[in-house]
Amino acid sequence: MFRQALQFINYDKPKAFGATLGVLVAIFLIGQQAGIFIFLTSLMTSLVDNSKADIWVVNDKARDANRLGTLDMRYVQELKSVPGVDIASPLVLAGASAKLQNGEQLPVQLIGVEAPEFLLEPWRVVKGSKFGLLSNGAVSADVFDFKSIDTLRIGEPLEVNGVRSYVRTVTRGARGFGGTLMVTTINQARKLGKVPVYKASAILLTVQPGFSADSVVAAINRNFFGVRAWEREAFSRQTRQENLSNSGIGTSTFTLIIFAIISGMVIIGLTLYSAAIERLNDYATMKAIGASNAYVTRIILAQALLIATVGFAMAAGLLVAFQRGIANAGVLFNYGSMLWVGLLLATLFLSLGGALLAIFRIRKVEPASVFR
Amino acid sequence: MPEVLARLEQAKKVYRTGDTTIVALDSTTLDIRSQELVLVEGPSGSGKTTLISLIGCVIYPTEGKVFVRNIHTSGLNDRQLSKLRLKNIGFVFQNFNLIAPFSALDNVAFPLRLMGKSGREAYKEARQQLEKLGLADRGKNLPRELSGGQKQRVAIARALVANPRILLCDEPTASLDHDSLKKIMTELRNLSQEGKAVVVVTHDPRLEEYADRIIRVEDGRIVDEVTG
Ligand SMILES: Nc1ncnc2c1ncn2[C@@H]1O[C@H](COP(=O)(O)OP(=O)(O)OP(=O)(O)O)[C@@H](O)[C@H]1O
Ligand SMILES: [Mg+2]
Repeated sequence: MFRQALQFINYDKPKAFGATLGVLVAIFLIGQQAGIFIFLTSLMTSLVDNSKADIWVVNDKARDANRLGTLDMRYVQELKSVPGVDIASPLVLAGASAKLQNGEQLPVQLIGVEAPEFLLEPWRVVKGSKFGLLSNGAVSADVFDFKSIDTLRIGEPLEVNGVRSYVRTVTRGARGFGGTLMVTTINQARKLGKVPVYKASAILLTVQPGFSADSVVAAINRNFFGVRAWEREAFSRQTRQENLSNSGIGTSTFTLIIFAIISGMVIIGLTLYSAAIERLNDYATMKAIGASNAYVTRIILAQALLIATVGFAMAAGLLVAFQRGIANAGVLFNYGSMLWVGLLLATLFLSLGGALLAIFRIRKVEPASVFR
Repeated sequence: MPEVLARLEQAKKVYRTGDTTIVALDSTTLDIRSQELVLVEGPSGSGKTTLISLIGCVIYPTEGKVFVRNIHTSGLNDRQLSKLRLKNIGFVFQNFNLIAPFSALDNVAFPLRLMGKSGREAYKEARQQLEKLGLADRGKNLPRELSGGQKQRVAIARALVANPRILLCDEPTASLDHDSLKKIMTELRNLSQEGKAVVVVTHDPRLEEYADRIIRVEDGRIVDEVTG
């Protein structure tokens, strides 16, 4: 079957090439869009996903970890008395402006965390450590956020909201959705961002062994007013949903993927169809000799599968190259195995769907047409 | 004893294109028997190809019945009909109809592969068949690389390879030189004597000496039938 299919492909190389290119382009585009989408959604939820908290307690109106609002510091003590709560540690987010020595200026989001609990600590640290943040005027910074700095050094001086500060922890790829993140101590964040001592953006909790996070969440939400507790995963989901529905990223990615599938299928469909039309006489002869419709259908499907396999392999290679290339620009993401499976299914869908038109035509051809 | 291998019973074929209707073959009743080489003659457009296509079940009669080995063919579905053709009928088409992407050898092996023979077996038998027709060294060539006469012989090899009881040949000698013609007609005659039914459509009077029966078709009708 595959041997015969290969002979048909071989006989009309330009068409096979066209169809393969169709698969390649469509799958590459889908993979590329999906990769960017994965990256962007990981940015949306990076604060939550990288926290060590089991539970986030936030203002009850907050639906997005990047826009938390504020809550009262007195909740910290009250939350500590809830059965099952181990650590309760406030978190302060504050917008600020950072200015480098060479004059480059950029807006940053300060993340003030309580030491030594560090329920949200800098992730993907490449130089220094979180303990560097304990020294005076210390902040963390990410190498991808500074255009003018090739190598971000420990001790790099900068001004945050006009206050002299130093980079004590360097990360690579620890970024947020809103922009540049800088982790510092909670006191430093309050000072730089002018956040009063009786306010916090969130209170992060860990749960004692033997207690389940959801029962603690339920207890808090039953007994506290003005705040809402979320399990980390749930808050991550909520944040992603909120950002996706507000930003149009989801719709635009989805639209692009749909268009890639449609155009890929049209290219493959038309190429396979015109290849089949050109070889109509051969298929009619096969039928006249005694090949059933099922047999000629399988020959077309086998051609589509061969083309799909080659197209997918090439697209996968290009996607890996794309992923590596773009990682150098700070766009870090991983294609999970689910995505590869998804792409493979999309490839099958494209090529088998594209083959349908050709199959219908070939099944309709009468053996008698060998006489014309 | 000769047996009836195929039978047309009041079979009629009408083509309709737009508002013109062409009666390609008028009601015809005809038996095709084993151990018999039948020649079908007649002017161009008289219905010769239509006649053997009906016998070969590649077209359906507009009216009447077609039997192949006592099976009434209009009751069969696509699969059954394909199988019937594959097992019982070898067809040499008027314009060869070799499968273009397949080599000569692949073309000849094709019916055997369809019958479910292993690749090794099919190619061995196909090679032998090509050898018999003097094409041993042409197996790897694509049809477009072969001369008219070579294509014709590949087509004959393909029709013979699966050893069908009924052999239908539409102008099988048109592109052949005298020697090849003689060889092939002798072979066809032998095959018929061994028990096959062989039907040969031709314009060529040289073939008459090989025939057991000659049918003359004009305007879609059998106008003469001579048993020799
Ligand atoms: N598929 C078709 N559609 C319309 N008319 C057809 C079709 N096939 C055959 N005919 C017509 O039926 C008549 C008989 O055709 P057929 O092919 O049987 O003739 P033939 O005797 O084989 O001729 P030739 O010697 O030229 O091969 C012709 O008039 C032909 O034009
Ligand atoms: Mg004809």
